[in-house]
Amino acid sequence: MKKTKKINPYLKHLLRENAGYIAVLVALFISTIVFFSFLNSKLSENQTQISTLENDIKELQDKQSLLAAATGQDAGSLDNDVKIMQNLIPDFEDYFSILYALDTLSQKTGFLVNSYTINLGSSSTDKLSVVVSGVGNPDSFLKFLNEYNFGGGRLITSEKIELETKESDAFKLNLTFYSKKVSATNEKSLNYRTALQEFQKLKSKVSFSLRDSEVVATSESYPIKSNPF
Amino acid sequence: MKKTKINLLSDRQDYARLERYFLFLRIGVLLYAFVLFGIIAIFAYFLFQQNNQVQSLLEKKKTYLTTLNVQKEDEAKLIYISKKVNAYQTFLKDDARFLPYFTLLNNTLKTSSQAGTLSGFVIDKNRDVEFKLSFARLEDMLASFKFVESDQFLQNFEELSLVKFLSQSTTSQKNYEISFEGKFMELNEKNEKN
Repeated sequence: MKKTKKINPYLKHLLRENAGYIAVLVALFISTIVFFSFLNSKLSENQTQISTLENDIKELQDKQSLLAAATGQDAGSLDNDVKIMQNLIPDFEDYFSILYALDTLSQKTGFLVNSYTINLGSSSTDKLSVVVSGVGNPDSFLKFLNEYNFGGGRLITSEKIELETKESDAFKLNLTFYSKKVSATNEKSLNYRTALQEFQKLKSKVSFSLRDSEVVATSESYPIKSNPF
Repeated sequence: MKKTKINLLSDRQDYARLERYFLFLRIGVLLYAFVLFGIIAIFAYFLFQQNNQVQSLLEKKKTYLTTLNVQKEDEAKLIYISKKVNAYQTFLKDDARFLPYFTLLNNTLKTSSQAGTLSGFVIDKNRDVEFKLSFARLEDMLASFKFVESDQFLQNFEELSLVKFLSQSTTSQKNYEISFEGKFMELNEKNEKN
């Protein structure tokens, strides 16, 4: 025999009487879930936006303070700095500036460069290898070795240097000149601050070279590349 | 079995119990609503503050961008300089840095009267070095070994070995030469200045 269970009539009455409250409770439950999931996504979205904006602002502040420091009091100081770097590492190889650099070094140090050979075999896109022969006493050669990196107005390196202090006044050196075309577009990996700190150190070493080349540029019309901007 | 009668006494008790539960439910719903409203109010305030912060940061960023836009040309120059400096740092690694290491060796040799004369010096970009010391007398050369083996001399090198000994004599004089090969300890800028 099938048993049917009847709902208590009192319970039925109370349920009907409190139906509004029960509906409100269900609505509150649903809105709690909806509200908190909405709030959670909105708060985390805002938080992400805030930290991104704070980072952006920090970067911009940094950039602005760096620009202020780089520009300094003199509006032309940045142009000057660009010129220093263009002289040291030109965008394209410039054979005349190699001649000029070697000549300047000769005049500065007393080490007379009497011949040079461009070694295309050891050269690459950015590097030009030049074998330099010169005469001078060991003192002038040492002076040359002290000056060759920046003294000619071009960045020059030598991978291997040999000094024999015998009674010979002829010396041979393998020098490398550099050129590199760089764009003025920003890159995330570029650290202005470190680069500028390094530049300040470099600037103290090349200040004379720039002055020399500027004098030549005005008095002898020596070709110097114009500002690319 | 079909129920034909209602027990009024026991059902009244049931009704009172159920009614009490429903009273708790009503109070609970009201409390829940108030608490939820309070939480919503707090979070809405927090969200409002957060939105204000976002707006103010956006304004700030806009101001900086406007200022930097005026200095766009300067920024391009700064980028150009930075890239060239990076290239310079890379290129400079190709340099043997002759003079700092030559001066270091020369100065160290000068501190000893038995060290002889530096007659040859070769260095490459990896700090690998070869050098020769010359002596007029054999006794001086033998005495120099004491100095060469001292910490004062060896502290400048990662490794150093004697590779050749040469004795030359002409009609008027004798000459002794010892050759070394090794690798210098890396000089930092501070040491270089000293």
